[in-house]
Amino acid sequence: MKSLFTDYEPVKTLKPASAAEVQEIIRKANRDKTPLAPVSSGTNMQDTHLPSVKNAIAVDLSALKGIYYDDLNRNIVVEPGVTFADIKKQCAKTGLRTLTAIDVPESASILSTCLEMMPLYQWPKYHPWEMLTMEGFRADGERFATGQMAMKQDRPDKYSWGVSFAMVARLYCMAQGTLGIITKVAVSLKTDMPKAEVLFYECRSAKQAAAALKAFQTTEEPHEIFAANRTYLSELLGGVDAKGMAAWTVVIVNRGADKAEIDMKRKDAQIIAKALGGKLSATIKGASSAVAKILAEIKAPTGAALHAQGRGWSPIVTIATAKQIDTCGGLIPKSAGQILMPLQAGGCFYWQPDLRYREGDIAATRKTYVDICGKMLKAGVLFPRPSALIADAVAKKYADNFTVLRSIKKAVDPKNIMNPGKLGL
Amino acid sequence: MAFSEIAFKALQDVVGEGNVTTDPVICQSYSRVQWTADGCVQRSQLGVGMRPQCVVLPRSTEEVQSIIKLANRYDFIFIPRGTGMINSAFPNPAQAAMGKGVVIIDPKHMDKIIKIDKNNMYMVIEPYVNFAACQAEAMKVGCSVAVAPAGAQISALANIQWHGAYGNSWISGLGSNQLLSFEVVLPSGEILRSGNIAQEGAEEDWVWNDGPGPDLRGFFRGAQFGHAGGMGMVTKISMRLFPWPGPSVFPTQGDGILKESHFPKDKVRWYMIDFPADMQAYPENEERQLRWACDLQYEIARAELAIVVQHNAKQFMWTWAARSKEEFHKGAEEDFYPHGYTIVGTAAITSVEQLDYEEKVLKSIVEKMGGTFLSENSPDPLDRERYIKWMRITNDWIRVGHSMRLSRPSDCFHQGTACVDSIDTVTDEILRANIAQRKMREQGLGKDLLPISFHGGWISPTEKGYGALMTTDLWPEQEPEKAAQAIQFLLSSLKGMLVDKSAGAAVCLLGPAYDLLGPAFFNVHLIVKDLKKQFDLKNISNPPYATTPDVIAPEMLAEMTKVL
Repeated sequence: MKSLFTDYEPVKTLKPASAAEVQEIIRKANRDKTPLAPVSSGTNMQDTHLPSVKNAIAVDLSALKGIYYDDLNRNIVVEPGVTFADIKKQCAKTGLRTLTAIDVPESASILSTCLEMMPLYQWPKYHPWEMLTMEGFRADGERFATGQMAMKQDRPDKYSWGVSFAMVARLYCMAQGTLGIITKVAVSLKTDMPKAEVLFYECRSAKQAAAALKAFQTTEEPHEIFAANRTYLSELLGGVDAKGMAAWTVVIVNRGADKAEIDMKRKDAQIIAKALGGKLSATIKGASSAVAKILAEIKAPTGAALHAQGRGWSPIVTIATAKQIDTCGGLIPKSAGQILMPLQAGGCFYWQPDLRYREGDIAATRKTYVDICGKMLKAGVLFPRPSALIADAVAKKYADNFTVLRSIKKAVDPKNIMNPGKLGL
Repeated sequence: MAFSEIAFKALQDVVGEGNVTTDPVICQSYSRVQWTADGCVQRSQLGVGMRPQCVVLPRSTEEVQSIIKLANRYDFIFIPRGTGMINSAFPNPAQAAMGKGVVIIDPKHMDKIIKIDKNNMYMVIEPYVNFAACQAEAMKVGCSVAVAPAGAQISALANIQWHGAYGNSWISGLGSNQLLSFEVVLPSGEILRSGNIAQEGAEEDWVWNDGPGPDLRGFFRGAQFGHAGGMGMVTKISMRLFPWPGPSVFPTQGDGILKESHFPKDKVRWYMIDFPADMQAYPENEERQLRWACDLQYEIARAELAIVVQHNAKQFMWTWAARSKEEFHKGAEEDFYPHGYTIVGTAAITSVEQLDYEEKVLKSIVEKMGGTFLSENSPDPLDRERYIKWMRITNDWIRVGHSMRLSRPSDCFHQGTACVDSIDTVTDEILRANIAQRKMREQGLGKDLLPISFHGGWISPTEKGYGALMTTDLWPEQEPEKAAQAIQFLLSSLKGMLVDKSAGAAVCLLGPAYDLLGPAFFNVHLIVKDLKKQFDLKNISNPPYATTPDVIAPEMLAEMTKVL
């Protein structure tokens, strides 16, 4: 199916087999003034791997599969082609797990998932700082790195911490390949607690769900916590009939070393549920194996296929406050799936409503998408990773920031080779 | 120095006559770098050159903006500062060489906590709000901030923007982890806001900062070190708060040096953990002890317990716990703390059951590893005394009151080495520094440093053990020659890091050291120079921070890095 987000396709694809080849490609592009669009796995939900201009060359990084695993320091160094599936076995052996992202499948690149700050289920527990050091090439082809990766060293065993340099670190996060190509990152792994329990809390509306999420989040105990509307939850549970479900359901995943820890956390959650005027349940009406399915989805998300069912499915990726969600809720089509995840103590939420459409509806759906996003933008909703359809509108809304970002881009990419046009840069 | 009368009058127009001065006596008072060894040397080298030509006290972001615009018009250097603790808050040799007037922007009037949002766990502050105020106000609403051993009196904004090491770094991380949204006046005089507040017309909300697009914190803050005023002046930030179950008012008893603090045991519990019996002797077992402490930290990290986890070297334990110079020197001679200890703090974020559970798990880990807990009932009376003395001040990891005692033994202080890395790697660096520096000592170097200087090893893990900050500390006296000995030791440590290609050397990537070390770090200095040129056309925002716009000639670099 054609992309909802862009009509641009790369004119050709290069598939480097090493970091040195990536560097050579960038140098040549600078000489030829050819735009480049880096691609790792292309599973970023908004097709941001596709170029935003004509005549761009895709740089397919999927053949770069280097992995270094440091279970003592609980991190892994990966190249762009390494997927979540690739490291599952090794993680299991050492009692660790990777953090996984909402609707980002196992076949996704770990590097690009973290670099582009895809919404990890575990953000409420651990906050969004899972990336440590990185290494790559600036847009002019010069190599750069942060932290331990920055030393000219042959020590692959020591990539543990993101010591970085004033003004360089994190700049490459969410840059969508506009500042260079990252060829290696170290990301943190978490303890895979042996026990887990899933609890459900029913809500009548998104507003109530947001309030409940905030309340449950205060303990900082759940390892995963989110709320889904009945469309989304039904799909999470394998397509069960959504009719009997509450409009929204808060899903709390408590994990622990033993039964005592799980019991303690459940007790705390029950007190909060009672204060909210409801109660927790371990089951969902009409859904068998709901707990197992939720845990399986968190462990290995299905990706877009969970929702698409043969049609187009495109999420609207936002960060919003409870008030903004309440204000903008009416803009979302009734057929949409929606997921909410609390961030920064529930001061705001990762909010992902979606659009479903047939291939022939793309033009109309684009209009709907742009219209909805425009109104959300006006209401103050933040688009952390704006898609190509709204990048210019977002850049206009954040005019001062984008003036600075353009200056930064000019400094590191004087020939405007790296993904020009992307993000409105 | 060139600082014109017309520029002075223009500054008066902005802030009023009472808030700007060129009075040499007042300006001289802004030339006193605090007690660090490099500050002593900087002072001795520059003499009255440390005195700025002018000091200006703005009351608002708009006044800061006007000052910076005047700096561009009249071509004077401006130095943004918080409370003026570190060297970059003072005129420096590079500025002296530029021959321009130097104006310190002192934000004393910008001292407001603008907002405490206990529901969304953040606080918005101006530059002159110190950690004592932040923590006192946060505790009133059931929250806590990251707690800087640098001192209760220092600017929280400057600390978070610049570096930020914390007593509770186990949960809070470093300074960069605290920063949500920010407001900065760029070197051009333009105002930039980040995150939620960047939108024109958006409701005032400082809660989030990731996006849209590349994270501007990456540019204005970085990860370990910020720009030290080299990219304009940060005028407001929102910082993270953490859950705090304890009393809303910090409990203290006694006065002056006798002051101590204890939390109710159903809210916060402290543990002082000793090594297994077969590795007690120090320094013979230094490596075994430090490795054991690391393993303990890794185990606690995997169990996801606690709010404070630190390994404190004996030098750290005693400088904090001793109540007077006399007690310090006596105890140091008697080896009161014979080696380091691991300190763990837990808090009842949800319930007493949670505290009990964490205690059970911690005890099981320590028991499995053969360690023991000191307590008021320890069999050895000396251990009882060690425990009691430490517990009087251990709350410092939650709210700083005593850590400035670090500078008391000699009225001066300097790090023998420091870096941020993984727990195991910072331990390598501690061992390297201690061994090398003891050897230097045997060769007759550092003869004026206090003997306790050679037993460093503060391991302060961050974010539940994904990284760690470490320092080893030295105590010279406040005389340039003696202070220079400490710097010599630090440089030897840096050289060791470079020879071994240890990333610990990155800790020194500041100001002119970018040129010194950049070539060893994939020429990172060239990127930062490009950015400096883009944003600070006249190179007037606290040069040479974050770095100079152009590559520095070797002879000039030697001159500029004399005080490193």
